[in-house]
Amino acid sequence: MEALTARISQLDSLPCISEHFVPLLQSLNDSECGKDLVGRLIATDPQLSLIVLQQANSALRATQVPASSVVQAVMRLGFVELKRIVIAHYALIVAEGGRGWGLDRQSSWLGAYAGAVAAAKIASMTGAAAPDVCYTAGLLRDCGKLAMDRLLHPEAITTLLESRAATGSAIELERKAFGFDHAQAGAALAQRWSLPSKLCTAIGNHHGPLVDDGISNIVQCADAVAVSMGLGLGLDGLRYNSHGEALRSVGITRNDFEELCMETLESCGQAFQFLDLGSPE
Amino acid sequence: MSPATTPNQLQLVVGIADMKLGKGPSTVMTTHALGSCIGLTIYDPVTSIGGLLHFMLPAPRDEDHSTVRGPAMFATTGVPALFMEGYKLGASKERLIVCAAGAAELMMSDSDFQIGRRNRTMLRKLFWKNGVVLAGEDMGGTDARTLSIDLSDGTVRIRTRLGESTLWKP
Repeated sequence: MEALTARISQLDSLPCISEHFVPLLQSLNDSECGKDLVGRLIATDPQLSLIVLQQANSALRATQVPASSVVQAVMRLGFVELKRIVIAHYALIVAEGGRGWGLDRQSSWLGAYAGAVAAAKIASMTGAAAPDVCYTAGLLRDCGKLAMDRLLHPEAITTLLESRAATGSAIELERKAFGFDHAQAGAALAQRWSLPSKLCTAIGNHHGPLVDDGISNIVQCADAVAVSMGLGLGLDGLRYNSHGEALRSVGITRNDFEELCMETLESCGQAFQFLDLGSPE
Repeated sequence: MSPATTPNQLQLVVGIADMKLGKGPSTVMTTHALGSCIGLTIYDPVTSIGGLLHFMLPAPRDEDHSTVRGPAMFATTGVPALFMEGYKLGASKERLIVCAAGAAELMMSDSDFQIGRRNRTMLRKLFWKNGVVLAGEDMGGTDARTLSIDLSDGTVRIRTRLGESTLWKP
């Protein structure tokens, strides 16, 4: 794991997630939180600041006096709109990954978003963890695909997954072929991004084993919801074997699982409308 | 993962819990990334009327459930809706060529969460009761599938990680 972390640290072409991402999402979920603090947190990420300013000054929202600072933009957009923008922005970063798994940007984005929504719903349903933390972990769970696309050639991953001899769990195949899998690569990348350790753990264990930390098993369940519906499904298909135990461990019933699938699909459709990405396929 | 089309073909994408019907000859309908869901095609070779349904779950818990979620979400409501819409357009049950793909499974032994298996069972039950025979099928396993139907002649193709194959052709 240390060797993998070192290899990922040496990559210079990886997109960056601000270390203030988690506090920013938490602030946006807190109606008592001041707009100044939110503005300062957004300002730590130049790319996000630019998007927020562009949105605040778009034809839809522009006034005679343009928003010239991030705080002014925050005041104009409001927390609900800002949260959508922030989540879409970071999900798009994660969606840069997955080429080796045969995923285009839209499919990767959909998989990330579906996992986030499902994780937050499971957390709310079970009360086992904070929904916003589970949302973030679900959103970022496959970020290791981004790291592996850069560490290896995506073609190498594609060749492995397309092979007729490639039977068994996709995680085991990756580990056997490359010495590590995308969950482990994700944990290492999350460390590089200085994300909280509980998120690194959940990302690293989103395909098992069970971890008694409240978050990891929920993220495994969220992954089961997303892949069952085919959201973010690539060449790895449904070749994962840890989901049943995770669903049982958090107390999800068959009816819960089906309801989660339907509600997650509905949320994905709404998000696609907001982002003008067409409709989920 | 989209199948190759010629410039004059109309490419329609059918989303999850969605259904589309049309008339040939220049229409290709495709549904992507079938996981546990099932993609079902119908085609009448005389009228060139065809359709594609992508349903997600076997059955709603109650009637309200299917009203809220839409008929194409479930096998028990989506399959009759696909056939009925086909008949309205002029298709005949006796001539219909029916194909199905999908119903993949996560690698777990817990049957409670095996949506693919339950989707498949429900589809077979519906077809057995109504005397419908599948002309082609590719269901189960762990691979994602993309399913398409070409309404010019009813050819049904599937694409998986192993490549493209023809499920039915005239």
